[in-house]
Amino acid sequence: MNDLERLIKESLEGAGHSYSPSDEHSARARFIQRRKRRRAYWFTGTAAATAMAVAVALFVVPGRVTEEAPIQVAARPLAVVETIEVGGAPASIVSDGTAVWVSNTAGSGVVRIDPETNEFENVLAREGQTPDELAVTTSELWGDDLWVTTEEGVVTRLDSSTGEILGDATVISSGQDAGPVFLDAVAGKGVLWAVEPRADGILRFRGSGKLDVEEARLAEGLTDIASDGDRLWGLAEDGGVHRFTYGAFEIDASDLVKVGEADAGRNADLAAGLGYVWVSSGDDSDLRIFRIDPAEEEVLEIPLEGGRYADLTVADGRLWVLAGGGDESLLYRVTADGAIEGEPLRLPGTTNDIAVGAGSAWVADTEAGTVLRISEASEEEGPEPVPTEPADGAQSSAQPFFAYSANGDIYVELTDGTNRQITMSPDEELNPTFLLDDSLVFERHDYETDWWGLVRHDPATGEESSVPLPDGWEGGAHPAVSMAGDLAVALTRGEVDTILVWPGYFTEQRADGALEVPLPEGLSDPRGLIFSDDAKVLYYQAIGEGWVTVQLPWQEGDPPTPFVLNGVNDQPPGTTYVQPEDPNEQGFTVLDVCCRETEGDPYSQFRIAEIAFTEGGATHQSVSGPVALDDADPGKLSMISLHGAVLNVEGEWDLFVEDGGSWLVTDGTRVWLLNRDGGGQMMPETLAAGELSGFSVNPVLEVVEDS
Amino acid sequence: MTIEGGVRLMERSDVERDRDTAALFDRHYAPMCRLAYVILGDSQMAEEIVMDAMLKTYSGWGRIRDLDRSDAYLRRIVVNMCRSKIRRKVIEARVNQVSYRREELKQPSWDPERHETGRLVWAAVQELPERQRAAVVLRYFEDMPEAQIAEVLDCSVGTVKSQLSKARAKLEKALNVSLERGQS
Repeated sequence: MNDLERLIKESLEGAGHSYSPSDEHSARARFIQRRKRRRAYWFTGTAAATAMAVAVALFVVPGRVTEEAPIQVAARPLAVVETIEVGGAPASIVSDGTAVWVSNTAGSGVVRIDPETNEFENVLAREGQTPDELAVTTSELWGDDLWVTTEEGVVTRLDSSTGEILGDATVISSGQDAGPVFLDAVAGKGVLWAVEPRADGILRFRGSGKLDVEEARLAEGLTDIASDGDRLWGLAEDGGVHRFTYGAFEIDASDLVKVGEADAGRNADLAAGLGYVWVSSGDDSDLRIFRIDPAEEEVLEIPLEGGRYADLTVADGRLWVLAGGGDESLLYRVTADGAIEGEPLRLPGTTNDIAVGAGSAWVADTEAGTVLRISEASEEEGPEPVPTEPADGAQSSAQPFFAYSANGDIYVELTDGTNRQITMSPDEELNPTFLLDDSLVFERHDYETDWWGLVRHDPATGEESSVPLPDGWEGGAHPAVSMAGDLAVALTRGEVDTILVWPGYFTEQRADGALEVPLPEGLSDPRGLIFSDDAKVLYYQAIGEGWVTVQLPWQEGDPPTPFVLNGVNDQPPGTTYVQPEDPNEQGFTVLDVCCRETEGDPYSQFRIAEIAFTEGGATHQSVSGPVALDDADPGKLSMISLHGAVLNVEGEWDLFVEDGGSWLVTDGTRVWLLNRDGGGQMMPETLAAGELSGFSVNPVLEVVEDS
Repeated sequence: MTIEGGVRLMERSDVERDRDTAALFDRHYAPMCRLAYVILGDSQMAEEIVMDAMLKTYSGWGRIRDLDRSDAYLRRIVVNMCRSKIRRKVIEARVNQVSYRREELKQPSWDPERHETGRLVWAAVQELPERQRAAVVLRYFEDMPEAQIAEVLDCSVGTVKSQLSKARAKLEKALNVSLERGQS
């Protein structure tokens, strides 16, 4: 453990061990109480007397849960057809069918998107006010109105067609807490309902000019509300779903009815429509949607894959489910019967709200500052730029041009402009490694069968060959391929690290006879495997406070003899970390590799600034300075490295790149290091066929014959 | 309770279940709160998460076939919920309203101001992406080997190594910047 690691450890231990949870006794009692309440529902199924902390009569019906595997029905696939960059941090999104409105919490305004042109304009911006919830009320007589709440407690009613402000009101919360005044707001018939958590109440806003505000103090722990026009529904912290009845001018809190209970918790969502109340489960690895039939008091549980929580909206005759919580979000369509329509659409994991209107679904991506317009893919216009699977049996002469991973899947772009997607199933993990000739090599771990191995995948045909890792080994990190087609992978077995080499794995299609190349005593955690052309594996690793480069000769039948190429280099990453003793002794020797920290991009801390090495007496040196990629022939660009992998350039070089946010591409004589502008995860929509937009081009490596 | 093939089957009475669950709470509540607190930097949220995680563990009791692994199961839920919490910042701004209504909780006795360097490091940890943050806390606070971290984070050991490597690089850079500011 070096100084930095000791510092991290001491800091975290200082923070953690001097903190004690408050009032453990009370927490224990609360835990026991909540646990028993759950058991009453889950294990006995009887009506539980869980009276809420309000003086209202409750009629508690737990509901009969029927769990069914979701039925999948055919439907046209969805596709992102437009990415609208509204900037800021779009949060809540609504539509009345003629326009789309988005509250922009970072831009402190409301954005109106015209579906005809996909252009947007700011329609409401008030200094000191951060727009939060949006809702649209409809009236055949008066037209549609847009309601906007702000985190500071201001409610504004606007004419949605003109943008004219019709009325507003300010709610000064009695609580002392920070944060938005309203927890949720939904449209009723000509009114806006809002939850004010600090007062445990529901507010109703009506009228124009100075809006009328009515308040009913209801239940503690109300987290969400939904309206289907005639009725108002509420979701409580305990998962109970309540129906609120109300008269002409006031909420009738004495007639609070609990119609069903679901295993909802944090981040659960509520929607009403199609004759049902819909609830998403709270933050859980097993995402479920509960369809509650208030008339029959029945609950249908619909399990969904690929999310931890979901945003729900009922529109266009179906329930839309934006399942998030992971590296990606999935957009599902669910029928009133509980069937799932078609395949879910994969979206960035930073999306957080959905609206449906004007023939499309609209999803706000808070971190990207964009609104994604989603429509059914037509036969004429495919779902570009979403990568597609190759048709069954389809053959293509196109070569892999560009590959990357996103959200656990691997995407490959071919030279004919088509895309291929290798999809991760919920039970497996894919770790992309590198492109080799016309194939992609990646590691696959299937959790169900515990199969762990390396896969060679032909994107053109979908054909795959694979080799399992030997029993007990895991983690095929930083693989390397030699010019002779040998494969080397750094693996771990328990606490033991080693390097396995498959001689002739690619050239002779050999998937057996792996050789174990143990590390020198005292060393572990190998990184950055490189094959030299005299059959040595070169790697570097952190040791103590520095870095060491190790050379491991290997031959079949002979025990490998490790050789430490250079001693511990006390220069930290960011300066030279590979420095051989005598370059002339090696046929292939890394002469110098320099890294530097990059300013302004938190996701790419290290980039190779310059590379120079010798090979057969010739020296290849780097050329610094930015160069536009325009002068390269895209048809000749052939290789890309992935995530700190090994790059095989036209069978001449093997290089290693230490960074998951950078890629290498070559046209045979030059190598470009590409870094994603702005950092972050590269998303499919930035990769239109044949384009490399959205990237900055850093140093260019050019082959120079050096005397 | 029966023993079959070394795995205890979950055929237990309510009394046994109560006893086991209470024991689970007493054994894990405080350590799990500390773990969540170090990841999130928010004591109230940490305690809420651990409470929810305990309930999830209980509701998923039938799925835990090996009681000896219940601690790993609970830790995995806590870490995943913390990671989810970090990702869900926008939504959390709303949900936090519920938790803030709860009684005022005691502040940690640790005074970060008295440990300036430690405070800087911890602040830098709070800025890491959620997976790197979780990996760092599990490695250096929980003293977990990389293979066990991979199990908790549901990823490969290679991924853990790469996440830790990137996290260390970011922390080193952030710390250098902070210290330079302090000296200037």
